Amino acid sequence: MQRIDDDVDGLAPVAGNIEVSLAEAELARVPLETARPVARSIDAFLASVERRAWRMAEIALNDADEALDAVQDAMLRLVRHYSNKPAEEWPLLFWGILRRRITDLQRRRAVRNRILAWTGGSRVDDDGDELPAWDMPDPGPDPARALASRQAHAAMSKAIRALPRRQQEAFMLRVLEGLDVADTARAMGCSEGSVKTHLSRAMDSLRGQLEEWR
Amino acid sequence: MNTSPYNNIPDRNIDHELMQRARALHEQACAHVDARTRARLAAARREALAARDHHRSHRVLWLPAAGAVAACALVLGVMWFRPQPANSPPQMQAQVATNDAELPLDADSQQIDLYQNLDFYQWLAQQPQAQNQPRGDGQ
Repeated sequence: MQRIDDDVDGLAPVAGNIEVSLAEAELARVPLETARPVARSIDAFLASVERRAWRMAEIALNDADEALDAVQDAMLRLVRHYSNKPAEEWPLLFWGILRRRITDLQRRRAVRNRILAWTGGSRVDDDGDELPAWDMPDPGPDPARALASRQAHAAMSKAIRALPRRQQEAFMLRVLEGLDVADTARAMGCSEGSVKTHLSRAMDSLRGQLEEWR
Repeated sequence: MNTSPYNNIPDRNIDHELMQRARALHEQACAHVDARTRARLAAARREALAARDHHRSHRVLWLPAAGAVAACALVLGVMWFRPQPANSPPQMQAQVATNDAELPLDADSQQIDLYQNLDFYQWLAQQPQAQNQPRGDGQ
């Protein structure tokens, strides 16, 4: 698989950094992998993964509709180009496609915001603070989610969104989705060492916010 | 060793707890997606599968047509580049054709010799009869 964006954040595996090495060793001891059943058909696979994919895209994009677009595009690409691959390869291919799609949407949004800023399209609220260039999505009525620690999930999503992009990806694929280090590296298009470094730094950033998630 | 700022729990435990908590929150959130989003996800899945079937049907239709075109091209290519027989160069073939054209259409194998020596037989016919007849005076 082609390796791209390995050092997008300027990160590379830090040799000799004791703190990072300790964190990596700790992470290696924690059983993160989630053994998920292998789907027998592409339809069953997509049905099993669609909610998790949408939630992950929603965390990264902070927009339910854009998250749905990203998931739908990933589904289309997987079905069109890789449905004849062995079923064991579908999860890795799907998460890799979804990751790239999310990155595209994030970059497109950044360009849109830059253009709006140049053309004076930025908005200011009553207090003079600049508003975001896009409207924050309306979460809508979702009582079940409210029952299931809605505030904690929102806090976690916000904290993950605040991470650099590569740390976000490493945390979501490795911790939330439960891929192992090798599969996370393949889905991210980088080395296993980079995954460990990104994840270690993500954990360092998130550690202080654990209390908000309780 | 690094310790948590909250309760002196070692980092290893904090990391483990953080990861378990994060995953639990994520799983709960995935289990409680609202009905509208679930319907839209299902529709997106059906659309993706339908697009694959549409793509396949187009490919099935195009395969025979592409095969027929390839076969025609092959036949034309063979006819165009068919090699001439090595023992009959074009000039010789033209000569044979010319000689054959001089022969009458009804010439059979016995008459070919006559027609090929036609000048001789014309000359023979023009000779005086006397030379051909035997002398009658007994000399």
